[in-house]
Order: sequence, then C-alpha cells, then structure tokens
Amino acid sequence: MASQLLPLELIDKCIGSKIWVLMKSEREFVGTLSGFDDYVNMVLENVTEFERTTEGYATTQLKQILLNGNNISMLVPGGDGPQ
Amino acid sequence: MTISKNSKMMNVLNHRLRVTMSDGRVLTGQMLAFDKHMNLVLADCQEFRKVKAKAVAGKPSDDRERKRTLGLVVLRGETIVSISVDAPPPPSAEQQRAKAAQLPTGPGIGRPAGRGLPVAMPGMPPMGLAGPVRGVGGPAPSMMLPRGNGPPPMPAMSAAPTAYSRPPPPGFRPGVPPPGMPGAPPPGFRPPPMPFPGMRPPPPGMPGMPPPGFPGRGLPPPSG
Amino acid sequence: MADTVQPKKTPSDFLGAIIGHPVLVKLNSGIIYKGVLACLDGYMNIALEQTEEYANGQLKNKYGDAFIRGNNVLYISAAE
Repeated sequence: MASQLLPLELIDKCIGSKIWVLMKSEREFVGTLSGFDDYVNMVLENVTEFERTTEGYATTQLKQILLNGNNISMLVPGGDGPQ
Repeated sequence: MTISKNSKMMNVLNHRLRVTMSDGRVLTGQMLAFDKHMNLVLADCQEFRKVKAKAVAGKPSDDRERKRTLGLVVLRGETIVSISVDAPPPPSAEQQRAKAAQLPTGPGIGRPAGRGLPVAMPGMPPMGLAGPVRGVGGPAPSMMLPRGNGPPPMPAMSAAPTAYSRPPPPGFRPGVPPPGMPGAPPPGFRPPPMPFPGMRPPPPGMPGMPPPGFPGRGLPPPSG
Repeated sequence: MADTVQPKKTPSDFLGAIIGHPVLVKLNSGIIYKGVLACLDGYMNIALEQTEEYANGQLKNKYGDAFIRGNNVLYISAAE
C-alpha cells in the first residue's frame, strides 16, 4: 500500500547504526542503536549527550544507556548530531 | 488495516508538511509514512525553533532562533500539535510517467512500414520477393530436406516443420514436395492458379483464369 | 541469536544485564543518581543501593537505599 514502511520499521532498520535522538527539551543524544521496545525506549551505545546552553552545547560521554521513550521527540537515522 | 482508513493522512502522504510540535518547534518535510500513533517519517526535514515572527518583529536573529537541516526524521506522534500542508508532493519520475500515460494521444498512428506490396497469399512468395535468382545463392539442398528421419533434433530446434513462404530454391528436386512445403509447384508442373512471380498480373477487371480442371471458386465454370 | 556480530539488545535485555551492577540514573530535571541497581520494573521505577545524588556535577547527598519513580527517569546508564 501507500505507506510501504512504517515509521518504527524505519527505526528497526537503524539497529546497529548511529542515530540522533532529539528530546522534547533542549537535550539530544547521538549513539549506536542497540534496540528499542514498543514504547520506543531505546538502548544506545557509545553515546554523546548534548545539552544546549546559552553558550553552545554541553556534552557528556556515556558507554551504554537505556533512554526513556517518554521524552523522545524526534529520531534521525544516521544523524551526526548537532554542530 | 487501520491506517488505510485514516484517509485524511493518506491524502497528504508524500506532501511537504509543516508540523508544529508541543514545544514550539516547527518542522517541514515530505511525509513518506505514518502509523496509528501518528508517528511520521519526514524526508529532507528542516527544523525551525522560535517562530520566525520574532525575527520579523525587528530583533536581529538572536541566539535562540535556529534553523537546522535534519534530513530523514522519524517524528513521534505524541509531540505533534498540528500539521498543515506546505507544498504538494514533488513530482517523482514514476508520477511523471503516469501523467504521460494520461495525455491524449496525438494524430500519429502506428502501422507497419510496408513497401506498397500486396500481401502475399500463404504459400506464394510476395511480389518482388521471389527468392534468389536462379543459380545464385539459396540455401543448400540439404538444409531444405525434411527433418524427421535423422537424429533427434536439438531442443531449441524441435519446432514443427515450418511452412516456408518461398518457392523451392533452384536445384531443389522437383519430386515429392517435402511435407509442410506448400510452395508453388515447380515450373512446368502445371499452370499456377495465381500470377507467378515475374508474370504480369492479369489486366484489371479480368478474373484470373482458372487452370483447366480447376473448379472456379465462387464463379460458375466458364460456359463458353 | 543472542550474540551475533550485531546483537539486537532490547530495553529488557539491557535491564536484565545491568541488575546488580553500578548504574547512573539521570532524571529529567538533570539530577543524577549513582548507585547499585537493586531492582526495577516496566515503568522504570528503580531501587538503588549505596546511592549518591549529584546536582550540577556536585555530590549533594548519599542514601543507603533509594527509590526513584519511573516517570522522572531520563535514562539509565551502565556506569564504567
């Protein structure tokens, strides 16, 4: 049919690749997607957390995280993150 | 499928949309897909933060206003406040082809390119295509021998004997015609029922004279 | 299927793997809790042991046991 690929099927195809996650707030994450569930809680590896401040981005490195899907707003497959 | 019933969304599929999100961001992008949660896939997506009206209001674009190119984006339906159509779908190659198919047909007509020659009857050579001149060229007699007694034919060659619409080549033995060769009888056998190649056609208005003993078809036998 | 070249690790796989390990939990407010993950559930409600509370990178408090209600959780990270 018309929508050949559902949005979450696209995310499923991103497993193993880099993904850029934009939260509802001024927070963003870039990492390798290990998996996700029905709520779009996501497991990410080798993560950089970006928090936008008045003078640019504050970054934090994290090995492996489980990101709560509640506050996720956008997902950019293969994204490099801000900057 | 529930999403196919969501015709409002189906109608704007592949359109360029402008999506306002709950935190005030605005996204534009071509909507490639959606699901029952109204999660969207947006291609060539651009993000606008802090509505452009502020820049218009006189303030030089301050630090908090930003426009970013995100590319292909999956947008969570939960954060969507409103959607409006920004532009119709860009014409894809496929759509253009479909459009071309709908165009009214022009005056041109497809027809085979002939050379003004009458169509030959089966078994008769077409006029002007009477085969090789006597004594010149032509297939080897062995090639024209009926198949069937020899070794089994190759799979690709296993077609039934073809009716050749050519007269027997010179050198063909005027004996029993091979099966499936309803060619014209060899010269001297008997007058052909139709104008033979090289023979002038009968004058207009004069029906072709049937050969002796040939029951005229559709015409009464000549009484006198 | 579990450990191929690119293992697919769902959230529940991840949680199962880090129970009993030191973790870092960040809340939506930005406050960070470091501790040993005692248990958790599908709401991301979390029980931590030997908990340290950080705000703006500075240690603010210590708790023997701490319970975090899941709705506040931004992420759970496996601490190095």
